[in-house]
Amino acid sequence: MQDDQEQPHLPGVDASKASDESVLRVHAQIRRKRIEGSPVAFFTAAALIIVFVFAWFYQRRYFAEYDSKGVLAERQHIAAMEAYKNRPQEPEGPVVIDGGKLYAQQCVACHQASGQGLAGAFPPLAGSEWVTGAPEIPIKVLLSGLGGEIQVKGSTYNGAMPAFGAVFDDAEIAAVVTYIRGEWDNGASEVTAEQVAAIRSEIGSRGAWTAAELAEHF
Amino acid sequence: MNLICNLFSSVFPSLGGDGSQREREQTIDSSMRFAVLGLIKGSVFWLLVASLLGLIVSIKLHSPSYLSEYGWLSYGKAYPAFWNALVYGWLFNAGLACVAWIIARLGGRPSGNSGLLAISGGAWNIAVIIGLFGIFKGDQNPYRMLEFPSYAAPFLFAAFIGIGIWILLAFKARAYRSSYASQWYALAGVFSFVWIFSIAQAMIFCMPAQGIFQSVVAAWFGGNLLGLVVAPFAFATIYYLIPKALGQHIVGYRQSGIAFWSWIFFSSAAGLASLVNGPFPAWVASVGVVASFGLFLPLSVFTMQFLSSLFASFSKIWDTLSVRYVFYAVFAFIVATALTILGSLRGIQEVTQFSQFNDGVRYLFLVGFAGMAFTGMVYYILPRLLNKELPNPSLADLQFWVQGLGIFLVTVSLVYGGWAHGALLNGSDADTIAILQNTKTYLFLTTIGSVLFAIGNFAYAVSFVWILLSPRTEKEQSADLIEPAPELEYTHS
Repeated sequence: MQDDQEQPHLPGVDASKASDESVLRVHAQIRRKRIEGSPVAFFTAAALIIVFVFAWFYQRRYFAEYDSKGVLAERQHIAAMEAYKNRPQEPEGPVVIDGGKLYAQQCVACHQASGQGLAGAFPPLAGSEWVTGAPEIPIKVLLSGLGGEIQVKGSTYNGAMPAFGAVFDDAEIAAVVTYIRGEWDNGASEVTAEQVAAIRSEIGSRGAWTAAELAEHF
Repeated sequence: MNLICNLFSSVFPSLGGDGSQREREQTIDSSMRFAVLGLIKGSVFWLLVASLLGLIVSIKLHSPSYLSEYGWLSYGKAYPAFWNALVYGWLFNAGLACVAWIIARLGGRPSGNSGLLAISGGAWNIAVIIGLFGIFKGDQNPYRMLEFPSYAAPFLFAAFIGIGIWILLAFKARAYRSSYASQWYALAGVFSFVWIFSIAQAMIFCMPAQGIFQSVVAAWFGGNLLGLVVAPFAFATIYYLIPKALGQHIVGYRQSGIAFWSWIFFSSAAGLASLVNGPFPAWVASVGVVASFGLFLPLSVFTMQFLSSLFASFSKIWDTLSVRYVFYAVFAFIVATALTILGSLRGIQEVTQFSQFNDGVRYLFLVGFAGMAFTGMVYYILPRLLNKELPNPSLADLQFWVQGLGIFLVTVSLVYGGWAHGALLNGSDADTIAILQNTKTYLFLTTIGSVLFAIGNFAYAVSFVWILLSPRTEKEQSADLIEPAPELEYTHS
């Protein structure tokens, strides 16, 4: 050992440092003996826990595709959601306003759903010559209201029709007028929003009409 | 099993005799000298063949016109020929030689029957020749590590059965009743190969399974060949060499049962991870990924055991040739298994799947881990079988460094180059050819590594032939060249 010549850096033969029998015996002994607080045992347990945690979350993510029917159903569901999101939107066009609905909201209290009005208080619209005649009359009445006596279907009424010019826009007034001119077998022509707009700009802002003023349209 | 063993022991008389411990060891060595030397000769021959083929393969990757006039050496044939020569030629011969010797030595009694080992060892090498010839002829099968044509498989199987029966008989004949980890791994490797090889041959070639299930079986076989056959033989070697050549008991040996069973359990399914993104139910590949990740458990036990044992006698490592190789093998094992675990995750496979990455990991695992462990063991066995010293330890020294550097270069360039290649394929809209040109540097680096590895292997072959042929000196002619081994020290309270 003292002489470098006798113990070269890399000997030609690797010495046997342990007999085979002692290798077996010592390791069997180590296996039998429990070592308290062994770091190897601790880190082995830690590795075991890490593996189980990973396996648990990974199987939750990927083993669900175990069942191909479930996968197909899920994919169909997703595809349906996507299709709904990307559904063709309605093209921008003229807004169709339901005149009947507006009539039911604003007019039906006085003129009644049947269009007959209330005898002595509110004049009828069904079959009224003021409604079915020239379209300017109902448009003007709706825009600015009507006051004083008026003869409808042979009866005289004396009330106050409120103005709707500030409540309804042109299209809504056109829709209501079209409704009352067409409903109850009135059978008069439709009215467009352009007509309403023309009359609104013509009459400007003014008080309620009288029957005499409107009679010029007959 | 008992019946078969008793039958054989009546045919082959027991050679066990009385005498000193060193004499018993010499009896064991001499009873199996011819057969084990035959396996080692085969391993050295196939190592040279494999390193030559590996060199050709790596050159063809960056210079496709190289050797293009030889049709039988086209890339599609040289590539499987390289891997099969490496595994079935080199690693199986070397691993079986090491394992047979370890089993016989740990048994403590010569089992005889060495004719069986010699004949089946020879048959194995003939089967490998037939298989490689079939690959070059164009009869190869399209599954990884099953490329040997179907007519080579029965020979391979029969030869392995012969070697396996010899190993079982040697284990049966043991004098010591307790068992050691090396013996578990040796037997596990023997049983596993018979199991996986017969299942793979039956389900892919004899009674082909339907459609894609063949690919599942092939992936399972490929993973198991590495994990359940080659790796256990290397574990057996490492577990044996650390106490024997270093005089150091395995630290934390109490946990080796956990390491053994968890390795067998997880490794048997880890190969399925390569099916990720394939046309398979997701759970098949997911089982593979989870099993690959499970390798973290045996990996941490092996790491603690081997590194603590080696570092406990750190100063002796570089002066003991065989333990040097074990040291390299342990590090290669840790890195390769860590890369296997990471490389199995879906996110990483997205990048590495169509690159050289997996070849790099496989190369490190097979050559850096198993190959280096077997080489160390061969350097431990040879002087004992031949009763000769290594004629030139400096040559073995050179071999270690050159081989080690070569394996390191090949691994780094394949793994990192593969990663870079895959990342470019995914993240850039350049031409595939342009991307390949861009990563050509790594392919050149692979060739440099292969050249270094081949030089190391040549040095190994020279060392081997030298020790075989050199005349015995006076010291070597005496029977006490190898000194009797002391008892293994164990002082833990």
